[in-house]
Amino acid sequence: MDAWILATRPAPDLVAAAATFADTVRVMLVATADELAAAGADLSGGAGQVVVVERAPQEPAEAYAIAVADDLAGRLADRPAVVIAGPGPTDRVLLGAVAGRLGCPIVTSVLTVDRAPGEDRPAIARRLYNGIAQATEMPQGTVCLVLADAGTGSGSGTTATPAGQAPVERLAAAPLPLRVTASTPGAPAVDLRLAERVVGVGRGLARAEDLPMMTDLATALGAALGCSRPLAEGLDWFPKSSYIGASGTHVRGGLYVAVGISGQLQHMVGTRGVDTIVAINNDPEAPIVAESDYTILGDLYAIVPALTAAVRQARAGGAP
Amino acid sequence: MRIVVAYKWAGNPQHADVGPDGAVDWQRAPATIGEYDEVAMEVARRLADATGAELVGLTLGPAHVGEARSTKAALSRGPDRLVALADDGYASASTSQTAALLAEAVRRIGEVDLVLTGDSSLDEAAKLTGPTMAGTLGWACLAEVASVSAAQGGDGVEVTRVVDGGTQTLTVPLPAVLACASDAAVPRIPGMKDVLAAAKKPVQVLTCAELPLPPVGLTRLAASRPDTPARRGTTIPGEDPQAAARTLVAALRDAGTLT
Repeated sequence: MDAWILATRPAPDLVAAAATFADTVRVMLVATADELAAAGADLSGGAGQVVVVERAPQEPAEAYAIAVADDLAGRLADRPAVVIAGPGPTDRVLLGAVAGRLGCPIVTSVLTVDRAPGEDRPAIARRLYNGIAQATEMPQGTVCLVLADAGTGSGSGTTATPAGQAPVERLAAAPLPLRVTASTPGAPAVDLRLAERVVGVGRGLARAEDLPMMTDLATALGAALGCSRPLAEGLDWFPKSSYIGASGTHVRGGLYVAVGISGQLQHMVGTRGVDTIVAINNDPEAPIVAESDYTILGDLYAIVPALTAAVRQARAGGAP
Repeated sequence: MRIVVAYKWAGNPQHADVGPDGAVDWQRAPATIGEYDEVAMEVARRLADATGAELVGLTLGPAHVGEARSTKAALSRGPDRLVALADDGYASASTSQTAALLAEAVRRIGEVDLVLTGDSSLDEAAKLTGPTMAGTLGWACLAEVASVSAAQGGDGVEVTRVVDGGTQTLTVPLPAVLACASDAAVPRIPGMKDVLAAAKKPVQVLTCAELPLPPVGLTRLAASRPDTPARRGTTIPGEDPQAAARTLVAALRDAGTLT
């Protein structure tokens, strides 16, 4: 079984995930000359082969999506593969181009990918409809997957190709005439998926001025700070990369503390991978109670500072 | 210029019931237009007004998406007319089947310059329908689009999008598919005039007879309710915040969660 990863930067996480169920892992990378030079020997991220499409800085990677899809269609004509991309918007445009060009199925909300018993094809376990159901599906030919979480399979694939040893093929591809005409940099996106501990803030917090109290709790816990959707959209207290939910980030570390979050399905589906969920809420009927391991029922304005102090003391080695 | 805005008429999974075999019953989850689709419709309407373009609404789903409750909801939010692929045979259409069918509908509408979609659907949030339509059609595509306007040279459109926290402005050649960011616009709330006008706008319904489902390409091996591990659901009274904090910290410490 072959895997192809579509990316705009080296993707060792996706390569490692693919290696758990595929025999060969190859990467199709769309990047600028500077990005390629900066990656150096780590270009492949452990994959067995890299195909590089170099773009000019004023060409968005999406300009090459159709060309990449046409090229990959040729390579996969006789060899179905699992085509993988991450969840970012550019990754999805690349993946969609391939899926549309090949007319192949797409699977999102992937839980695990294994080899189907007795087949040279993957068995893909996935959530349906924000996680109210789940199913396992086997593609008949090529399949496109969005892998938001690395390390999905339980199979043993090839070990990673050491850096610098994967053959690099340069693909001359014709872009569509999309052009970046202006660009203002912003704060780099927070990647909550990598955080071992996350504190989430919801609409229970009355004012943006109260956020420092939440930052203090996060700092005490050594946690990253995220939020529920309304605080990133509409209220604009947080950038969109901080919002945890079905169409936002999926956190999956050891601890998630949801403060003033009611626990709607849309939000909780972004927390399924977490080991321990704690909530602070004043409503005993809130859906989050059943979705958490521990809920402190009460006023978050009193509880959060108390919890911050108790956590600081415990982590400093004191008795709680 | 002709603009198509694609939207989904679907229920909120929060209210759906699921059998032990994973079968989903949507009876208690009445369908609506997803809120992100409403954003796309607003962006589309404003662009159509600015350019004098015709705006065609496009949707796909079971037969009821072609019925009055659904078509009026869509037509009161901006489109000049509607094409609805409405057939119970489409009820279980996958992401790739939906994209293929919508792309074919765009071809049949003819002379379409721009397709706008929402960020994601309420029920599946796959976020891939727009990009896959673009792949089928061979068109340019961008996601997370914050604004769209006619390009100054008259060639294509000018788009802004959020990228890694910053913003980019791009020129995009037509035809193209653009997936609007979830906060690209605040959708108007249809007024009485919009609702009354909706009843007069043309609706074309297409069924599986005219647009058959392409092969799904997936075999379902199993389905069930979710395997999500049940949470403990322990509650700790918070009237004494310090005591509650101590209790929680002790529990987390014992579980090895708080090192």
